[in-house]
Amino acid sequence: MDALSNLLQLIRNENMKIYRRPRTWLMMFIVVAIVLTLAVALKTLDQNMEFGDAIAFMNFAGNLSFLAFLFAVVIAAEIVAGEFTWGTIKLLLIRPASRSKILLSKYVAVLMFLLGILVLLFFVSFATGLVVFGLPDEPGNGPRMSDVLQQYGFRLIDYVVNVTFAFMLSAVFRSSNLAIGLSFTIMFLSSTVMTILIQLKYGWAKYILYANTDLSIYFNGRKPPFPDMTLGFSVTMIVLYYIAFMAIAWITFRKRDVAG
Amino acid sequence: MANVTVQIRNLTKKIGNRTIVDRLTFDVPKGEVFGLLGPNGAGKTTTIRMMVGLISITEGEVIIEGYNVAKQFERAIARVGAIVENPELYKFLSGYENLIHFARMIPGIPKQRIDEVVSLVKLENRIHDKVKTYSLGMRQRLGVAQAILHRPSVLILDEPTNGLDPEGIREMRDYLRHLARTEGTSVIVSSHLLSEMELMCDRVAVLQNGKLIDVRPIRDMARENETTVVFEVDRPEEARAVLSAAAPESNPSLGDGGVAVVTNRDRIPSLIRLLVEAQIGIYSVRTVTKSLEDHFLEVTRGGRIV
Repeated sequence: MDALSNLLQLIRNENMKIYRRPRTWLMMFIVVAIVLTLAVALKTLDQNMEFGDAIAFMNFAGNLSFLAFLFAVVIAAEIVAGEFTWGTIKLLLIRPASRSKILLSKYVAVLMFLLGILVLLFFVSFATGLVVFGLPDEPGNGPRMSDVLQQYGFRLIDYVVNVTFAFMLSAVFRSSNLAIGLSFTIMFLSSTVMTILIQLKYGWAKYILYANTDLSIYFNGRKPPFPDMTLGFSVTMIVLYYIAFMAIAWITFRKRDVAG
Repeated sequence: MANVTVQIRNLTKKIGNRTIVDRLTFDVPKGEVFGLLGPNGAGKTTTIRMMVGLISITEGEVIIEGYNVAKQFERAIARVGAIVENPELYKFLSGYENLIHFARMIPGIPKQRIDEVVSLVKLENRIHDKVKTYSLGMRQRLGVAQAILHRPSVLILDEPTNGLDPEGIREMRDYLRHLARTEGTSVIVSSHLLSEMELMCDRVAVLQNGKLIDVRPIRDMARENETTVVFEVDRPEEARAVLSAAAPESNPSLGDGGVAVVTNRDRIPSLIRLLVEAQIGIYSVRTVTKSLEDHFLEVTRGGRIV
């Protein structure tokens, strides 16, 4: 119980360091502003009201979750490396809290931010959809709420793994710019590289994380990138990568000499 | 041993095959202000980093009130307050938020203790401003505030007077001595400023090339038996011969318009008598007290030659 309350205090600290910065609120503002702009744009372009209702809008606005995810990557990539860049790591680590616990509190804060900004997107797009497009007339026509939730769910798995990757880079590199830059580069190159590898039919490419992170393909009848891939295989790969990222982050952070 | 707060035993840090800190051993008793003195690169900061668990210890141990820093880190570090190099705090938070942050990391610090340390370091007027608007001196004081928040048994400060104005330096010095006297806090400070150490410390360890070359009380160091006495006389050559014959260990030498000897204060009258008996005219007798700086240079230079 004592250990838990210590951890909660550490998480409060990490949250303070995230939410006392104007940048974080700018990220939230951008998400809200884009949802509103999107709704107004759709309404103006779609004079015949063919687009549909609030749920259809939510389903469409769900694509903006990628932006929310990018913001979470920035937070994740900076949360450990930033302490080194600022020099505050020297004051943070000389307290009666183990390095593991400090790292865990940072990881929890990152996941809370990711979830928080997705929840924000979800509710803002719902509210905007209601105001601009109104409730669905009859059920069964367009996408349903369950479709929207499913979409968010599948993306969440993808995002959590990738945010964990950025978090690992943050724990490994002492420069937050390097950690952010590397996360983005790898993320943006990965889809291009995957497309090329799939075109070339390199069988080993199925072991790459990015071939497996979109689990929705197994549920909506699309074909996996490689014919012999199954849901079980992809889930196993995701879990293995996740464990590897966590292990690398924890081992390097615990062992590191804090000098310079 | 109940009075010893910090025990350093055989402390060694190697990186690759370079030895940065080499078998340091010393104790710091309760309520003592202890100085780590040495030129840049002597291993002061590395020693401090090992003491607070920021870097691993290659060999040896650091014991704080009976707890081993490497093996019982949380218990040992709960008794330590420190500033390692510059006090780098969260610039985007206010001074008060910084203190809240560090207070949350140690169980059992009431809010009033935060207000107490804020007034101790005289930051009441600016504590709710963002740290990025603070001057270096204010940051240094905020650094001290976070270090004493939990009333540590040992306070470790790396170059504590860096960036302070003379008034600030004096305040810091008085405050550290006050903490040591009234609360029994052991204070370990590192510096390359000898004059600072002389005013602040009870004992000083001289480090060079990672090795401990000397630990001694500051009084001994400054006013050691070794006083240089210069006799201004009419016939220096003859005077030197007389003194050499009577007291060869005082190493008489010509210079400074007379004869210089290194001797005990108590022996000066007998040396004067010797000169008078030899019919040598004495114009003046001057003693040159060796400062800590001379001593330090002597000790470190000696090390370099050997």
